[in-house]
Amino acid sequence: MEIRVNPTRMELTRLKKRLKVAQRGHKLLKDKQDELIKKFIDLVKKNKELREEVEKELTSAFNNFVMARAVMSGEILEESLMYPVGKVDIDIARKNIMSVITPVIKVKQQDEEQKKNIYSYGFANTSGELDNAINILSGILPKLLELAEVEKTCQLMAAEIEKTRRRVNALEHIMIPQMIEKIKYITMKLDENERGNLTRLMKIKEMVMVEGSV
Amino acid sequence: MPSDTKYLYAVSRIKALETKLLSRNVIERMLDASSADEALKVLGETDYGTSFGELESVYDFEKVLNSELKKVYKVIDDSTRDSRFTQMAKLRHDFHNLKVMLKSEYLGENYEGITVELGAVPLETMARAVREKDYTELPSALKKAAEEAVMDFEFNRDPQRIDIILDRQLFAALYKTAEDIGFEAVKKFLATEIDLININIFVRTKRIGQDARFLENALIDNGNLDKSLFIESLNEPLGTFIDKLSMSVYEEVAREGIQAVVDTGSTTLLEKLSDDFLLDQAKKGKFTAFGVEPIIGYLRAKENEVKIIRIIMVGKINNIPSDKIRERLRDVYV
Repeated sequence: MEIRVNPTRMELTRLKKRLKVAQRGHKLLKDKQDELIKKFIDLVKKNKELREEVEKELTSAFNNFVMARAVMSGEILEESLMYPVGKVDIDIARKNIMSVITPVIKVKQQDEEQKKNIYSYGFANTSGELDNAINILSGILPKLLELAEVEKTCQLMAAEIEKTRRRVNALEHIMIPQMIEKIKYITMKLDENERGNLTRLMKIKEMVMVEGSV
Repeated sequence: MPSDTKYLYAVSRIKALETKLLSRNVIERMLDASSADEALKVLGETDYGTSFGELESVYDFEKVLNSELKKVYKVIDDSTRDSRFTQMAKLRHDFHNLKVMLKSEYLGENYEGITVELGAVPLETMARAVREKDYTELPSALKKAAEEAVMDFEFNRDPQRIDIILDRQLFAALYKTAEDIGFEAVKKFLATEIDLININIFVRTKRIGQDARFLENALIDNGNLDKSLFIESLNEPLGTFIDKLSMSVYEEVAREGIQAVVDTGSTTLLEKLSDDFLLDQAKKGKFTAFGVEPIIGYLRAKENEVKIIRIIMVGKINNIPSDKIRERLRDVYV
């Protein structure tokens, strides 16, 4: 690889300083990456548990839905659900994990009266299986929101980990070796100059001595 | 009461059509079919085959069912020369459409796909009436219902109440039509249906923990069972309610169906038993040679059949095991 750098002492000092910064940065980033991965693994575990739980309940809700769909015509089912009554207020705050901004979703508790009234349809020509499905769905909403929070956090963390790893690798495998190479090149060049100078001096000294003796 | 022989021609025609209703055998074959396509093929061999023209995929099977119902209405209209019988079936669809249109009006969105074309009132007429809040073009029952629902919604903003008001008005209109037809059998049949619906409403209200005021609103008038019976039982355990019903004709429905709700929390069995009970009543039509029983019996049988086919098809499309489907299957008329 061609090294394009001015072989001067000033450049050398500058490079040495930069190398120090790069090494320090590399160490810090590496620590950050390790910590991120540790947190990430915890989160992913939690995510998996939550997801399995939610999926289990969703499956039973959907089973109820399918059965409700079977006993009611599609039009009646859709009419029953077209105008939802349940309302949930959520608050989204931010949390900083290792400089990753992650969302925190908080569900504002519904009052009792509202909880009872999650059914948006009359009972005369709908099936009780629909009640079950709606009830389950309404029950898992907080969990679903938590899952959304954890999953989004995981995504953001994963992106951050990837970014950090790229930086660490760039520092470790490209920046730092290159700088070391450059420093070596300058040192060698300078040494070479030094040696050339020394030889030149010795040669001149010899010439002066020969002249003097004549 | 009009003469028993008033609809003699219609009854004989229906007697002939009764033989074409799906038999248990066909239903078993549909149930045993390996896929939705196979089940549909079995159905295609029956009388439904003639309605298969517009069918593009198995998911469109409801179109077939709707066009079949349309045909049935036409046959009954033509043979009785009296639109009041199908009126009783069509009113339900009209009220359904009214619900959809009122709700979509308030949501400000368009929900054309979920209206049905089986009603007596053309969809455009109804859509225009709802949009312009001028219900004079609608039949009086629908007009009254729409006005009440709109007024209530402006005040309460609760879409469930739209359904509840329209359901109540629907059955009031049905009852009026039944009275108008003048045959005791029609009225009796309707009252039985109302009772069964009220039992269902009661059980579900109790299950979701709503209060007596809600129940009173939701219950349908003109049933044989008094509304107060339900309201008084709301705060008692379901077991007591079963005992109360044990003296009535609904003893079996209550003992098995409501007990299942107590045991499993699922209304599946209760709903099936209710439908079967109603069909049992309708079956009287099979053994009467005169009167209106065969007409209402046939209508009910056809609607029941459509329900059975829907359960099987939805089950097959979603790969639900046969025994789960069977649990929900209604009895058959023939």
